Amino acid sequence: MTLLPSVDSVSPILMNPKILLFAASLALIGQGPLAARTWTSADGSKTFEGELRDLSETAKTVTVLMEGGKLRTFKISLLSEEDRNFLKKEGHKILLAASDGEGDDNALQDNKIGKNLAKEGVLSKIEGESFVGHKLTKTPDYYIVYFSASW
Amino acid sequence: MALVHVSCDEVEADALTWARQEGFTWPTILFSDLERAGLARYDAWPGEVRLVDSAGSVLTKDEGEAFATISLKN
Repeated sequence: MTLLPSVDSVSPILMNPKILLFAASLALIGQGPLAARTWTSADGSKTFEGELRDLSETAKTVTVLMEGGKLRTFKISLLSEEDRNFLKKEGHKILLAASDGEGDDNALQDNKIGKNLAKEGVLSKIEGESFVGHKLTKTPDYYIVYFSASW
Repeated sequence: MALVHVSCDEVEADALTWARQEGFTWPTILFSDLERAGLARYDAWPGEVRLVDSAGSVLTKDEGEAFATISLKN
């Protein structure tokens, strides 16, 4: 997966080390296994193995790929406190790492951030000596917003 | 995953100079478009990072955690 744009028009020596670290980190996305986990029910009486596949904070549900290959979606409240804490702290990180970072094509309008970025003239990109208009071609699931200034 | 660069330079020429100097060729939002892009609400300073999901929820403001998150699969 190629995440990084070409920077061959600019000497790498001139690049900020922080940005280089950023770029290197981005390049690592798309590798590695999903973490399977033993989940425990809220009352502690039952456990099961499964991989986290989706997490909805609005619906307060979690989707897990069970050992047998079936996807199950259930209320987060049915899980133990430890599992709930795990989801709160690590859930999005795992899903982000597991995804290719891009949703369905042409779905920007359904994506709160993407919808704004799709507005005419909002995004631009360096081309030669100036900024020119730019459009996202995919619908990312996650965005890293980096704020900069010359001062 | 998309990396979006927000320039806090009010003068476009300054933003361009900085981005060229740093080799920052990612999609950019100029300061004048920050409100329209819906990103002003993140209230960030230059050098700061926000990792957000598609709904706009901030997953982390911490740079180290953001780096750790995006490199989790390493």
